[in-house]
Amino acid sequence: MKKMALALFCIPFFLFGCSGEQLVEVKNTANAEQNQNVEEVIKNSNDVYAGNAIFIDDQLLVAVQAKPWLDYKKSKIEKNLKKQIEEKYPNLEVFVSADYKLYWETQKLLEEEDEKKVSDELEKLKKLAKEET
Amino acid sequence: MVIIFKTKPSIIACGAVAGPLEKKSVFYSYFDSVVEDERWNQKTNEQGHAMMIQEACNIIMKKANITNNLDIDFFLSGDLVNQMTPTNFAARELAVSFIGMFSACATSVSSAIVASLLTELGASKYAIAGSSSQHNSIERQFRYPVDYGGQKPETAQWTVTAAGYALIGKHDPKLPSIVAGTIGKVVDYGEVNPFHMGGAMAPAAFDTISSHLKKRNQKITDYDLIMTGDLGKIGLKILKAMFAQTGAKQEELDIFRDAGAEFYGEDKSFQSGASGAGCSASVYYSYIEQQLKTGRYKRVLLCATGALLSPLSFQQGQSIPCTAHAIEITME
Amino acid sequence: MDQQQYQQIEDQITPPTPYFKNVIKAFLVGGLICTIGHAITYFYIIFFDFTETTVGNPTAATMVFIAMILTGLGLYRKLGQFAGAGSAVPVTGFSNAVVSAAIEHKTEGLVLGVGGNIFKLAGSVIVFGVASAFFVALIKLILVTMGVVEW
Repeated sequence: MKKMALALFCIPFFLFGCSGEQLVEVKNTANAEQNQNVEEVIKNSNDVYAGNAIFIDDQLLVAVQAKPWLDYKKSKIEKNLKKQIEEKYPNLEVFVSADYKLYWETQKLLEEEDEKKVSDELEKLKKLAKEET
Repeated sequence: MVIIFKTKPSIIACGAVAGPLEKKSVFYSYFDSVVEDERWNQKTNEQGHAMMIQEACNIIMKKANITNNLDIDFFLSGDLVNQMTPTNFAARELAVSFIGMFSACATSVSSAIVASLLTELGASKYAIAGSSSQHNSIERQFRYPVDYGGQKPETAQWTVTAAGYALIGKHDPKLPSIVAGTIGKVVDYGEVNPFHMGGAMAPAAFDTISSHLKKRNQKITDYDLIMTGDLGKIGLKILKAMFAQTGAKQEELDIFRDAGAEFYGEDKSFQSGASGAGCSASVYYSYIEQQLKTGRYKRVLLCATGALLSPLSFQQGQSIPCTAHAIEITME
Repeated sequence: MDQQQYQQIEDQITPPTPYFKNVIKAFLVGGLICTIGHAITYFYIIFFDFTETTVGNPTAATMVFIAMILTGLGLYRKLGQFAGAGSAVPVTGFSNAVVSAAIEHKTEGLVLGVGGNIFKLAGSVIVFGVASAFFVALIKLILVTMGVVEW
């Protein structure tokens, strides 16, 4: 019984151990060079442990997850990332969010083949993210 | 102040009823009736409370073979609800001469003292005395709503749903008789915690018991049992410690018992034990009366304690004044 | 026996409040309630169109609803006795305070009974919540104006 309690107690520490490297996935239909840039920006950010980036038409949606203890300065992280990414892609309309909803949905969109659907979904997510209540 | 009753009024019959939770009580088998519904099938808790009092009185009348209400001369009773409406409403149904008594949880004894006085005077042939409490209506009166999830400390007590009444009449050598009573004074040792009634009331019990013994020129060992009302487990310990400090020995301390401390047995969910005007009344006027009748006890001192506070007084930071009244009952 | 002597006896016999035990129990139960709340948060984010900003409302409503049911069944009282602050501080405790007062005063009618007493216990939470929110916002406004922090 005591051993089991100890094991349960230790599990969270093992889980923390796994997340040393940032997980970054990029969905891009055309340009491989573009992928590299945004991946680098996300990976270089110390406040983020995971991120998804989706290129569609002239838009770029980046959904990231802030590290657990840094949740409180999410809006700052968003702002910083947005600035850095916009520097690299002056022609694209960049949208950055640290919201879990966007991260979850973009995860699903990464596998989506139909471009029309992805584009519609993106519009919907952007609208959602703007809602305050 | 000790009153000696020369005519020795007797307890002719007793009626004790209790609510559903009181099935857990160690005194359960001594109660005359237990009702499944806390509200006695009435719309409100307070109406149920009044019904409980009526039922106890009906049981007494049945036991004493009294068929007409008007044969009862006096009804002396009290409870803890604002303005004692449950008692007043029960008195309306009973329709006999009635005085509402309030000594908080000590009403069980203070009403018996007044009934004995009236009997002694020759003014009363039959007088019903006692008190009652109903958990839900008292809790809302003094504390929080019943379903509120507040944490009660270990010193807290559980208000019982019970009523205990006694029919007091002329002396009968075959019945337990009230030979003396002490009307206690109000004692306040500065306790302010409404969740520690035992600690507030123990000094009052100590004062009343020791002055009764002194005036009557008795020792603790003259009694088979000295039973306090609702000090609870912790309050009883404090009372014993006070007597121990004045030189009482262990065998003397063993004579002391407390109705509230024993009411729910060792069940931890009731914290320090039971309390409420119905606690002492239902134990005195069932278990104790029956033990006296069977001859197990020859002389007992019943000392009911009452905390004279209101929600208003303790919110305004006042300490809790307490009183205790005692009656000495013998069986020949 | 004077008051001081009595105080000594009383203090000796009265069991001390087990603060440490209470804190541990409150931590565990309070943590459990918040974990359930978080699970509900994720449930709403994943299966419905709520973002982290907007999910607070349905989550709080669900927690309040669950606590309401538990209060009606008389279970929250038992939880409260065990957990103390652990079950009183989360929004479920607020729900319990409101619902228990409403149940209690049902017999006095809808307007004077339930309406008049429903915030008997929770009223002070609202008053001091609003008052402290005002002062916190004021302090932040001053700090932002001085340029110490950003919004």
